[in-house]
Amino acid sequence: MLNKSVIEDTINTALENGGDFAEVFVENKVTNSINLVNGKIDSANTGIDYGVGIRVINQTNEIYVYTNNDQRDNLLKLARKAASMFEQRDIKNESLQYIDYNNLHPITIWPKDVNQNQKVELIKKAYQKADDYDDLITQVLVGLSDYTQNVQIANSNGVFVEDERTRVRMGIQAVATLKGEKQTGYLGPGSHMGFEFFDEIDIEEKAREAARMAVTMIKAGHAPQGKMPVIIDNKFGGVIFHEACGHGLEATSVAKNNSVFANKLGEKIASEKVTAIDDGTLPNAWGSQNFDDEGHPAQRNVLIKDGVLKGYMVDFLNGRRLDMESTGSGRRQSYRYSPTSRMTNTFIDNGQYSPEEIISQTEYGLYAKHMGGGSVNPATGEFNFNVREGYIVENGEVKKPVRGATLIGKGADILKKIDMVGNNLDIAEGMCGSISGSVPAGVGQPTIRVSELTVGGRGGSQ
Amino acid sequence: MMELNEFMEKVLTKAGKNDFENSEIYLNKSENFEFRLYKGEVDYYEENEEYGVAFRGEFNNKMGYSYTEKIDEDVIDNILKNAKNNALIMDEEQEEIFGGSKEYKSLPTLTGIYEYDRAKKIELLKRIEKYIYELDERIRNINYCIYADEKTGEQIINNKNLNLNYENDIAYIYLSVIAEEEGEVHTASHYQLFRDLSEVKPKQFANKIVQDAVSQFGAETIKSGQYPIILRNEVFIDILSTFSSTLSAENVQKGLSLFKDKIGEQVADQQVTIVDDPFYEKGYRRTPFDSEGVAARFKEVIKEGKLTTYLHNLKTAQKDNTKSTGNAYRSSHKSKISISPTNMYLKKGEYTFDELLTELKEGLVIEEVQGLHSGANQVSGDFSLSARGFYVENGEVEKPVEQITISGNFLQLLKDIQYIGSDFKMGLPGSGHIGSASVVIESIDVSGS
Repeated sequence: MLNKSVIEDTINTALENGGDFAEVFVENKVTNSINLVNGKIDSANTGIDYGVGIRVINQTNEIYVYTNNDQRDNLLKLARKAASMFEQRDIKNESLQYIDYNNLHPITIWPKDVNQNQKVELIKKAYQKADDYDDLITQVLVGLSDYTQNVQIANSNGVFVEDERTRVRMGIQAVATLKGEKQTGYLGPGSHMGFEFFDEIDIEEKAREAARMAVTMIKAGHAPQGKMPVIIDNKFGGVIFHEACGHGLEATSVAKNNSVFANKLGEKIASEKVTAIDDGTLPNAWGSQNFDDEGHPAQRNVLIKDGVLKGYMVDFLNGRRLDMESTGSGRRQSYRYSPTSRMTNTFIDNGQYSPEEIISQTEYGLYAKHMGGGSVNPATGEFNFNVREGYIVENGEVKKPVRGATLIGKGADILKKIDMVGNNLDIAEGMCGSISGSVPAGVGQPTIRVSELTVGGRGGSQ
Repeated sequence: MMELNEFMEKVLTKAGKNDFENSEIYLNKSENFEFRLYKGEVDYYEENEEYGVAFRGEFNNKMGYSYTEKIDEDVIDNILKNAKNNALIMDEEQEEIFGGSKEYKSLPTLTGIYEYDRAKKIELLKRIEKYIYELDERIRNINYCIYADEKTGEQIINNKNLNLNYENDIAYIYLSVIAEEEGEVHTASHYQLFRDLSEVKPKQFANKIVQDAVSQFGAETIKSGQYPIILRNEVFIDILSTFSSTLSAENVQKGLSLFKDKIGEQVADQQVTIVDDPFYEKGYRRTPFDSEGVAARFKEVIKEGKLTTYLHNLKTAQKDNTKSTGNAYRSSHKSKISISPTNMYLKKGEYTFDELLTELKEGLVIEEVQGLHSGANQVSGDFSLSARGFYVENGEVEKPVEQITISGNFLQLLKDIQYIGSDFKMGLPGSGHIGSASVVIESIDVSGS
């Protein structure tokens, strides 16, 4: 990492040459990944990511440069070059104040203290459970990754933060084969924790669950097509809110009026049953960290309260554009990206119904037990999700499994059509890609019901 | 901090002294430049220089990997230790460090686009931006207006005296617009890759994206059912890109490909020829050698509908008792050696787009699909994608269509290709750089209302 004086000189050099705000982001990240294919360790890699990103802003225009060369001369040269793109400004910067803080995300077992054989043992344990689950399981892939990312974040407002983020994650994919056809089941548990995470969860149970999903789906028929009520289960089901609404509430798309939710603060945008929150402070949660990547403390942001739009997720630059304060939402994948507003752990809050009530009160519809991924166009709110494990609900009961269902719709519509919200809130782990790269994001919700959604499947109309 | 060359030499020398039987350095470096416009102003500007060094070495007959972006004397021991620890846990049969092919094709190298006058690049994009706003007042906003170019270099050095080096450069523009009329909102995007600024025709580019956006006004969903369809070139490129990993021998050998046991079989309509061409002049992945240092070569992967070969690296080739096809691939210094197409494209046909419409008679033109990263299964070939496009009647575009999904299976899709257009284009590069023309598909499941 860099000396405080080098960081300070880099910021000063930038401001002397142009711009009214300068920031330095230093990153040293040690990464580890091991992959198993069909019982054999197939690849293992260990690396050091290291670089420095310098950002200079003038009003709402932004220059970003990054480099792997951390020598003082090089950094000053880059700062000078970047800033000189702007006209001369005479802005005084604050001297850097180191910000002390309480670490909300303590680590017990550091990845560096776990040897490769112990990791292999964990991987093989998961593999064995998934492989033993059923004869129809023909392939199992298990990946284990961990990293410890050390960052220094400093800017001309005097902020100087040093933070450390350690995350571990295991991905388990099981493939079932029947009559030449294949279906996959997947779970990817992870946390902002060290290897103590694997003492807290039952990795064998997760492996069995991935295998069960694959076996259930290989025996399933095709999903129906057309409009129908859809029940979306808790945990990763929250990807629907993340994609369909969360991205549209990021200042990145709001500031330039590219979102359907722009200029709607205080308006009712969702059913009154919906309260939605983005919370980067949840202890040791996947999408949490002490500070965002602009050195702003993470916070809990209420986005929607009882259906009314309360706030956006705001980073520094888009905050200027919107005349709003940062909400601790400035994130980036690495020093290679300029930060922008992103989600942390985003979820729909608990409602009143038990999941059983929601199912029993549904005459006909699709029950999406496990969601796959999806994407959204923030300008129109049009989204699409893939259902990894789905079932038909008939007369208040979960009936036959169906595969290949896709859910499509518009974010603004679906928010209004959420007519039942369960009481079993839980959060799962995902990776979210956007203009500032791929960042760990928690997605969550209780079981919810949407009164009508378009389901795309190959099983014909109902 | 030390010089890159000195660092790489020291790593290799020390590896030899640390009981690595063979060892190799892969250097990945690039300089890149990007800016974005917003309402006539450059509101984002980026310029970078970066590198990363990957090491792999044979220890106890197994290959161990590690990498670093920190170029310092004191990380050398770390790199070697990490690689050793990783080698020790490997179960898979080992990779090989390669001594070199007999000859390598001499290819054109840097065109100088990266060094070219930046004021001219900004001026070009500003012209496109201005044309777009002038063409139609319903264009509310250009939400992405990006120019980027880069100069990249790859170097492979190993203890078997291999020392290969190749540099490449490319530029692209990507724009996305939002059109609005009476509260109805649509978006459209368009991109182009090039190595010379003169390849970009600002008026034509602006026209295409504006037309694409405003022609969607009044779009509705349609009745669910089976429809004959045209997949526009960019759409079929997206689908081919998603499923291109199924041609990798690695996926085949691991039981993760739908092409398993299909060599020599008719897997597509006989009009279909899919080529992997590392020398293609318009290809981003133009290269004389692959990531293991094996000479790259041209091949027809699917010839007149028949699957002729998988894509191999040295390890998969040895397993299948064949030769590497020169498709070893590392996406960066951070990744291990895998397999990827180079520049892979569906050979174009003879039909103009209008002739394809005539042949379609009645059905749908799909202009855009979403959800490929989640709604397509590379193992089963099943896909279900949200889509938009047009309804066609009597060979003429009738009305815009949105909020539908198209579902099917990739293998079936290849067999159901009826006509291939002449409107060929290359896509945005991913691990491979894929190209295609528009195609007519006999019938596909569409879900709407």
